[in-house]
Amino acid sequence: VSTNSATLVPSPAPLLGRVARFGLPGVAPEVTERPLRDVAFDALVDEAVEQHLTGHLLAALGEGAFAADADQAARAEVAHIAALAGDLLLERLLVRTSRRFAGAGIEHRVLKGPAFAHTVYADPALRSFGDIDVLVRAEDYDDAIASLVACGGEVRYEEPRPRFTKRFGKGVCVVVDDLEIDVHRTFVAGPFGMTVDLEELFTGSVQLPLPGADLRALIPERQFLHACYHVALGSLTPRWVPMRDVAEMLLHRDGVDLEDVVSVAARWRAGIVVQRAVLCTWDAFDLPGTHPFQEWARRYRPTAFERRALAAYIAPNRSYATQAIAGLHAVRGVRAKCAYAGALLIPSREYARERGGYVGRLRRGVATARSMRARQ
Amino acid sequence: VRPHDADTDRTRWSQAPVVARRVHDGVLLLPIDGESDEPTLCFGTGAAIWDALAVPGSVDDVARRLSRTFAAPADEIAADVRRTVALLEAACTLHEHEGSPAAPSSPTDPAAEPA
Repeated sequence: VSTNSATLVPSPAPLLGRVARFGLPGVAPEVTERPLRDVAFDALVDEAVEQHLTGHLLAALGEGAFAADADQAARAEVAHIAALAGDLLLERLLVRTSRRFAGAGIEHRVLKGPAFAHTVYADPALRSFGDIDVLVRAEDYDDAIASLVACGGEVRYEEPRPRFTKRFGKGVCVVVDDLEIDVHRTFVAGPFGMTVDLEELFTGSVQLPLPGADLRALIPERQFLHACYHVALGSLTPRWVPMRDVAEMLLHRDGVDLEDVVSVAARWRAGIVVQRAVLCTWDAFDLPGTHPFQEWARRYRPTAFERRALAAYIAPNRSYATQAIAGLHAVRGVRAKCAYAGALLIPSREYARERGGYVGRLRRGVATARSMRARQ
Repeated sequence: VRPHDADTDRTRWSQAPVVARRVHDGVLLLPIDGESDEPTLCFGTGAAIWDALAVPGSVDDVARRLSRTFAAPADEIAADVRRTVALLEAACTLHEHEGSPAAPSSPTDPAAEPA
């Protein structure tokens, strides 16, 4: 067990991985055989809360796979109920947001947390989340933001240039009643966000079993692709919950069609995203046996574009800037490339002021471009 | 919380639109149209009463349904049901069911029959 030298409390990371994979088919059920010391147990619970894993922790405790005394189990349950209370507040905001969008004629799709909780997991209490994500079409993007601002929402970030996000960006975070709504135009920032066929995401839908609004999620194959984007590109080191989403879809749920996923990923120039997500999930959870997706991932040979684009997301100096510059390769058309580069290099005065002014921004941009060229 | 009276007992209740999660031996509820940011947690019989109100009914109706589950006389259970209904109503998780009020005693109520 690795230790955190500042406090000498055992790091919860290895145990948390075993909690995260608890309940997957073919995985040994035991998490711990003997109760942890209180300080270690509480550190684990804190980390489970942070990483939205309290549902799996409670499931392991409930089935006796995680040894704990009665007080520890009670503390874990309190933490889980608090996490679920947060989920419910977010879900209520989702329903209310969906009503507003529907009232304004804005078609939308629910992404990630609540969508996965209600369509992928056997019990939504197993899949907690920290915000809500809603996808809208580019032409509805401004109206969607305006609708949220009209009910007191505050847009978290400035755009480099007016209409930049609507044309090139991932989307924006809006804070409503201290809760975050990510309004998406596409899945991710940077090159892989620009190669997604956005209209295809609105073809078909799955209804969520929530009252008060007609909430729709993506069809299973597009949900799976989004989960892969989250694992492969969402953070430098893939997080447990997105990997569990991928594992749930592959191992527990029928209906993710390999041929469809591979064909769409090829069109979206994102085969490497699926490959990385599947292989990371298999390795991190140490899943037994073979699976058609895993076999495909082991054989897949990424294109040059895919390798170069992925580097912008998983390089140690990963940043929005590196992804934005790498995105230039994915922008189609000379005029669009000029508009994209111009917005990044000569952003609006407000955007530049928030980030240290024009000169500092230009210097950082040049340095980032040089370092990326050097790696290639 | 509404004080107990004969009218309360004749009122038929149904679940308001809520977002919910199951927890060990209980259910966590937050009304879609309520103002409170604090979900209501119902444990044990409270959760059973909430579940029973998936089919609209009066306090007596719910007590009769649960008397089978808990193998206890309906009039003993009615006090618990009345108290829980008052709390759930105060938390905006129940509303009065539109339609005719329940008769004081309705042994033929189809909702009282198990599915």
